Amino acid sequence: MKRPAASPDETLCRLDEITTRWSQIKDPLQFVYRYSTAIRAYLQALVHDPQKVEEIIQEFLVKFLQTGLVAADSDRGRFRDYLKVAVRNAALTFLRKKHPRQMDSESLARLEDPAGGPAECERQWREEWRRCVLDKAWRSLDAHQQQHTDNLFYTVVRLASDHPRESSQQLAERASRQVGRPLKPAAFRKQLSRARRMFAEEILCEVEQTVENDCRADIEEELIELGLLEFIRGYLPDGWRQGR
Amino acid sequence: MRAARTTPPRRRKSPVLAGQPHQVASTRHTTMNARTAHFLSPLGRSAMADKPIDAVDRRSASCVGQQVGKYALRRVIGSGGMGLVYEAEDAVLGRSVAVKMLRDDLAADPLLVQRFMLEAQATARLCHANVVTLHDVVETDGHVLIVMEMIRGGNADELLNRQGPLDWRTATRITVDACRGLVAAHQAGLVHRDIKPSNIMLTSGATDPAATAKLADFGLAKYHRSGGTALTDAGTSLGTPHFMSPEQCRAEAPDHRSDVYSLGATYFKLLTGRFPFEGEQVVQILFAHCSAAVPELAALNPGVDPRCQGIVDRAMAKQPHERFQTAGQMLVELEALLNRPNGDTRGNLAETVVPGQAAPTASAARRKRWPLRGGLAVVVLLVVIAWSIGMPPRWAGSPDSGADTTTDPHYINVDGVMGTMEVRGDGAWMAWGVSDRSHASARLLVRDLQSGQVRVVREEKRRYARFAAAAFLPASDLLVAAERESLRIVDTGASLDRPLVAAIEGTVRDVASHPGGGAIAVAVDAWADAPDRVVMYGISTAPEVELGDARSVLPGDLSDVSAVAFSPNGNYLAVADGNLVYVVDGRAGELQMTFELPASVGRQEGVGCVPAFSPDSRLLAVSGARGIVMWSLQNGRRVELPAGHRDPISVIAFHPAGNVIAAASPDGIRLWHVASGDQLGEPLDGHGGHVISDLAFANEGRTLVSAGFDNAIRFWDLSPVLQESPQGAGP
Repeated sequence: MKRPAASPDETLCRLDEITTRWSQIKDPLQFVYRYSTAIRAYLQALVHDPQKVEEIIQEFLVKFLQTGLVAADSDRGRFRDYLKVAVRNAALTFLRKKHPRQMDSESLARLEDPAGGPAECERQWREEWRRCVLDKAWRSLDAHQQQHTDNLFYTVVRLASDHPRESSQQLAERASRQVGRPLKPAAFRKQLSRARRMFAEEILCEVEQTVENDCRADIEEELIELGLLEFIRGYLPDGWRQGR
Repeated sequence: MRAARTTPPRRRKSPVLAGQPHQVASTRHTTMNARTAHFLSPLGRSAMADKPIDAVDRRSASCVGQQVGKYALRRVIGSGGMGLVYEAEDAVLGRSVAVKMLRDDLAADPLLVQRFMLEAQATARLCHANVVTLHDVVETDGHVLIVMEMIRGGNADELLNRQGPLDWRTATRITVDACRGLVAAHQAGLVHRDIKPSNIMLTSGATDPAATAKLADFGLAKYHRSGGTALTDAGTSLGTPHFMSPEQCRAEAPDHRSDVYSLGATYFKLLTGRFPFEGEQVVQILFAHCSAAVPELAALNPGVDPRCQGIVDRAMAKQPHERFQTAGQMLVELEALLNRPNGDTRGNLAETVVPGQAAPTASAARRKRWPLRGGLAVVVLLVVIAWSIGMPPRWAGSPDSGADTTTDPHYINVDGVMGTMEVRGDGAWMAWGVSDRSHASARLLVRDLQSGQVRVVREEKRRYARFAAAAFLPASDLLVAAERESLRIVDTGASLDRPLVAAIEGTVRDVASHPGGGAIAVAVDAWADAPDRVVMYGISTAPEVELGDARSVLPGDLSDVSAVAFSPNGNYLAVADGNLVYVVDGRAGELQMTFELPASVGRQEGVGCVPAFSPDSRLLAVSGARGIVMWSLQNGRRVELPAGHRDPISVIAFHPAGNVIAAASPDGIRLWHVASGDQLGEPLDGHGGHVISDLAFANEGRTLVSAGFDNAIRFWDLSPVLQESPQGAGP
């Protein structure tokens, strides 16, 4: 990713403004909806039965609504881990209660594994979570473009993403065709630079909200673990990690 | 950067989706707060669901029989979230009307009153056959009333309750009407936010072919564009759970594509009689909207046309950017589904079949590609493939034909990215280019306009191949096609086993063929700092197909060339260069006249104008951003047509009779009477707001063919509008 023309300090300021932590989120249900595809995929990997997945989801949602985000230890780690445990526990409880005879030892071992089950389940969870973060960033670009006449943030990043080997002239031509008005390569590059910055900020904001500790090292670790740092790296100022 | 896969794997059957019994929440938590209670509430008692009439306060219900202002309230005919709806009589005008009265207990809430008034203002902005008409807004006798058109056929939800899932044609027809209303609403800047069957009113029984469906209840509509009041902005979930978009579920700010999702869910319900996602609790349904695959229609109603599934799936995509981007796009697909040979073809100016029996005659169509201009190319490297790999023609219907066409004879859904489209002068054939979506190859296809038979006549298997321009050579089966920086002469009759290739130093923007034969003109966007140019080639077709010497026209004068067009008599060649149009001798290439696009019709900054000669070669028409200007080639006299497009005109074409000109822009195609400047009929809107890149008349001018960036080619039957024209514009 090219380093943006704008000052990296803007990102630093933006990051410093973010103080909300997931445990303080007023409406955690929206977070659950946002990561619903990850929850569904994880459950499917755990129990391999779409019907049971639906039943567990129902159980999980009811419990989540009743208890909300449980106030427990001062250090609860990432929202991602918290939610995974909550989903897995819902599965375990439900299956023990509803289908005790169907629970073979392998299934139980998979569900009772505190690490979240075998590597495949863990991989599924992480990948779907990553997709949800990226989806959120794409939606933000898309909404921004919809709300602002002449803005093409979503279009230009999507085109650059889909056709990484094309020149800005080729991409500008594609963009022109898509939006039905001419866009010069220089204008394309300008929009792309700004749009990538916004994309990076959206990812950063989302990840930042899902780690409990506001230490930058934790955020960076989460970005690395989810394979998202590549989208952010060019927009972090030097010494960002040491900042807080 | 890779895009995330956002749609979960399809076709997973679940108890929620399939409506099988599932576990109900075991117990209610004693500390449940109001919000929790709402989400756990059984459907039908949710604050978001419609209230049953018996739940409405008695005071409002007691208004039956009363006179409120000039309205005598006869009976309650329905209720929405904000009040009862009465059938009433307007004592002054003596007509029946529907009166929506804000519930008294809510009237005390100023925010709700404001929302109620916004509903009125929102609806009042719309005047459309598929939107319930608002007559009046009244504050009288302590009540707030909205007076609306009385619709006696009930709503689509009641129809479903009476007869279960609808026949797919009926369901599609209702959805088409609702979609038309939605297009109008979105164009007025309104997002409905609560599309559902009970908000689709029917003027009579749905099986009545004359029935019209109308979109009602803009009670949740928000003044969407700038300056509006955002009563229902992000953070407030409004809508009906079964039809809510994922972004509404997540309390993100919905835009017009949220309505597309809800209309898709409504279509699903009309087709199957079932909600897309069923569940006993709101939270479960919202979760499914955000993450579950849309169930298979056929599993719930085997009689549904399989093509309905594609429309529902696209409308109900989880991410807004994966849906139809406009209601207009969805409407195009719905109409195409409906207008197939055995379908209902109700509607004005609907695309219709190109009559196969009609004798093809000269159409003198003029077309031009959307003249996109890139910057200067970095690499000046010309790769000449003198004799590229030959490829025998493949007939449509064979397994590897490329299947660019559907079975629908008046609509071609191009399987890939549209390149160019051209209709032969005698109206017998058309050709179009298409690049595959992975940009690995491009094909050139031809279609016999009599039989509808399609075949691939050329395929270029190289990255970013694109057929950007084409021209039929007169009195032959030959077609000149420009594939980026090369020209290929293809025999559509397949007598040539290899196409003739000529290298062009630059990117070909347009090609025109001399009507008398023997010459072609090529508009070339030069690379690097070289000036653009127009090159005329001699061409012979017998005994061998050969390109003659190249001769530049207007050397050194061109900087932004975008289009070329020969006059039908062959005397002139028009060259569009930015806002200038040069007219040169059609054979010698010497400059005859120069015209400049006047600012009054809108300059085509950075896009370039489009020239078209009248069939008698006496007029040269040129498109501006907003209007059309015509010059007499005999005396230079100038006439302007307002054309009235909101978006820049991308292409124009003269009717073969010469008295009508068609102009296309993303807001549709309009037909204009040349002499009077009057518009004929309503705009033809079939490309869903996309740029219309090519336009040509066929079938003696009764059919207009258009191609657009929606990757579709459409055939428009113009007979009704030409016949009804008071100017007698018909051929």
